[in-house]
Amino acid sequence: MSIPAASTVVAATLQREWLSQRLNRFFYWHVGLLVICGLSTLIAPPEAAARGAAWWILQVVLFAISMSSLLLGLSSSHAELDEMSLLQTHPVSNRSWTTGKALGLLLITFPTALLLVLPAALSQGPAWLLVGVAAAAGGVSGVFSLLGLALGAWIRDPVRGLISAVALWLGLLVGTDLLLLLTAGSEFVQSHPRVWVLPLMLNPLDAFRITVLFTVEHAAFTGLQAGGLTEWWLHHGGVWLTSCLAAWAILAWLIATAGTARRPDA
Amino acid sequence: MNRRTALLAAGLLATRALLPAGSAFDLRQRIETAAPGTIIQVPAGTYNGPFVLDKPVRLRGEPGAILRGDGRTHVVDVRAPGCEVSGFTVRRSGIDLGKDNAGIHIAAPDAFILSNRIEQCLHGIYVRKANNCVIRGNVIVGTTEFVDIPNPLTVHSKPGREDLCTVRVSQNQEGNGIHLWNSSGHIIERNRIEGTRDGMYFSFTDHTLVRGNVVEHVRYGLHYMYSDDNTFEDNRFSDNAAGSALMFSTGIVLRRNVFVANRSHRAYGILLQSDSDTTIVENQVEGNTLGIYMEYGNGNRLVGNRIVNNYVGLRLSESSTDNAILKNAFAGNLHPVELGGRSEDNRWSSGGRGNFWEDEVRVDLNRDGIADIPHHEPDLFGALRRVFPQIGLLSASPGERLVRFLHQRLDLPGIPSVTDPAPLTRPPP
Repeated sequence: MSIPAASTVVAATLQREWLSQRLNRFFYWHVGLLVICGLSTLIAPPEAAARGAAWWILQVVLFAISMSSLLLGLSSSHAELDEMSLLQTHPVSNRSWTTGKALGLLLITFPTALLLVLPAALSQGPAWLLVGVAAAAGGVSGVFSLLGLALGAWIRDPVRGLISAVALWLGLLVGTDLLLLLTAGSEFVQSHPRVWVLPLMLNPLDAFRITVLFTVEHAAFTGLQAGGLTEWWLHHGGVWLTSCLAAWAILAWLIATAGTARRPDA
Repeated sequence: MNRRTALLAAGLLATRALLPAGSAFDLRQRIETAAPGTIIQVPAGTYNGPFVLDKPVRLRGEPGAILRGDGRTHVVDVRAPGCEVSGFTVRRSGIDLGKDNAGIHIAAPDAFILSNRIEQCLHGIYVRKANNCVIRGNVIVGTTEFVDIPNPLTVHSKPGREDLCTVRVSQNQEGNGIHLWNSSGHIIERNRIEGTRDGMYFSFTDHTLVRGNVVEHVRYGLHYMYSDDNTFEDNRFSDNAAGSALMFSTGIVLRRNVFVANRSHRAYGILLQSDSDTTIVENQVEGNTLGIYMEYGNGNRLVGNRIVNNYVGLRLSESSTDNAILKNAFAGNLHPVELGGRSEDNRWSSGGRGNFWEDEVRVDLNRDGIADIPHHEPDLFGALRRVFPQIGLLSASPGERLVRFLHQRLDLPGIPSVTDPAPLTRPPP
C-alpha cells in the first residue's frame, strides 16, 4: 500500500468534511442564525444605511456567531470520535488530516458570513463598508470554528467539550474586558499602557470590535490621540485584525494537530 | 427696532436712483455723490474697491455684480447707520488679522447685509461696536482646513487678547464667517457659512437672534464668549472640527438647533463653560465626540433634546450644579453620561417626568409612560478617561455592557452614576 501525498489527504479530508457537515445539526443552526441575523439588520438599526447595519452585525458576531462557530468546530472535531481508532491506522499524517478539516471549516464559515450583510446590501445597495464588515465577521467566525476544532481535539468527551467551549467563549467575550476594567486604575498599568492594551489587541473579539467601532464605523473617540500602541492600532485596525485572526487560526490549527496526534483513548 | 423700521421707511421714501448698466458705471463715484437714503442699483460687472459707506446709502447688486477689494483692507466698510449691502459677490479683502480685515466691515448701527456671497476674504462679515444689524441670506465661503484643534477649555479659560480684537493671531490666516464684537440687537438669519476659521464668533454681543443658519466644515461652528441673552433657533452646526463652544455667558436660549457630526478627538456638540441660566430645548445633538459638555454651569435647563449616537452623550463636571436635565432622549451613545465628580445637585426629573434612557428596564405597570423603578446611569470609566484615555477602548465591549447592565439594576456601590427617579418609557415626541 502506497502512502498518499499530503495534498491528496487534505483534499479527501476536505471532501469528507463537507459531506459530514451536511449531516451536522450545528451547521444548520449556524446557517439559520446567519440568515436570521442578516435579515434582522433590515429592522434593527434606527439609523439607515450601512453604518447601522455594521453596528448591528458587530453585536451579532460578538454575542451569537462567535459562539455558533465555536460549537460548529467542536462538533466537527467530535464527529470522527468513533472512527478515530480506525483513522489512525491509515498511513497519513495527522497534520494533513487536521489541515483538511480546518480548510473545510474555513470554507464553510468564511463565505457563509456573507449572509449577514446580504439583506442589507440588497436593500441599501452594495457598500464597501459592508463588504469589509462581512470579511471581518467571516474571519472571526473562521477562527472560532478552528478554536472549536482544537478544543475538540483535546477534550473528547462531548459534555466536557461543550462546557469548555462555553467557558472559552465567555472568557474571550467578557473575561478580558472585566480583567482590564478592574486593572485600569492601577498606577503600574497607567504608566505602562502597552501592558494593558496588548491583551485587548490579542483578543480576536476585542480586535474585531475595535476595528468595526473605531475604524469602520468611525465612532468618535476622545482617546484618538492617546499615543503609542493605541494610536497605531486605531489607525491600522484592519491590518491588525487580519494579522490577529491569521495568528489565531494558525495557533488553533497547531493545537488541533497536536491534539489529534494523541492516542484515541488518551 | 423702531429706529430700524424708521430708517427702512426713510430709505423707501428717499430718492430712488436707478442707474443704468454699462461700463461707465463708477460705483465709488456714485457712492460719493449719492444723497443719504439713496438706493444705488448696481448692474452686473466687477467693481474695484475698497468701498466706504459713510452715509446711509443702499447698495443693491444685480446678478453678476462683484465687489472686489484691493487685498489690503475691507472690501466694504460701513461707517454710517442704516446702510444696506445686498445681492453682491464680495471678494478679496485684506488678510491682516490685526486689522480685522473683512469682506463687509460694519462699524455703524442698523446695517442690512442681505443675500451676498462672500469669498476670498479674511473675515466674512465683521460687526464692530454697531447695534441692530440684519445679516440675512448670505453665503460665506472660506478655504480653511484644520489639522489641530486647540482645547477650548485651556485656550480660552479667560479673556484673551484675540477676544478684544486687537492682536494678530498666528494659528492660521483665516478669519471667521460672521464676527460680532461689542454690540447688540442683531438678527442673523438663513446664512450659510463653510470653510472659515469659526462660523459665528460672538464676543460681548447681547440680545441677538440667530435663526436658520447653516455652519459646516469650520473650526468652531459657534464660538461664543461674554455674550448674554441671545437666542439661537433652527440652526445647523455640522461636521465642524471642534463643534460649538459657549462660554462665560448667561441667558442663552438654544432651541431646535442641530449639532451633528462634530467628531475630532476634542469636538463638542455643545460646550458650555461658565454659563448660567441657559435654556437648551429640543435640540438634536447627534454623532459628536462629546454631545453636551457642561463645566461650571449653574441654573441651566436641558429639556426635550435628542442626545443620540455620540461617543459621550452628556458630560457634567463636578462644578456644575442646580441644572435641570429632563425629558431628553439618550439613545445610541457609547457612554450616555460622563461625570467629573458628584452630581447630586442636578435635577434629573421634574413634575414626575425624567428622561428617556435607551437601555433601561421599562417596567411600567400602570402604563403612564413613567417607568416604575428609577434608572441608574453609571459612568464606568469616570475620571479614568482623562488620566488613562486608553480606557475608551473598552467602550461598547461586552464586559463594559455587563457591568452597566448589573449597575442599572442593582446600583452597585463605588461606581459614579446619576439616578433618574422617573425615567420615561418612550422618547419624548
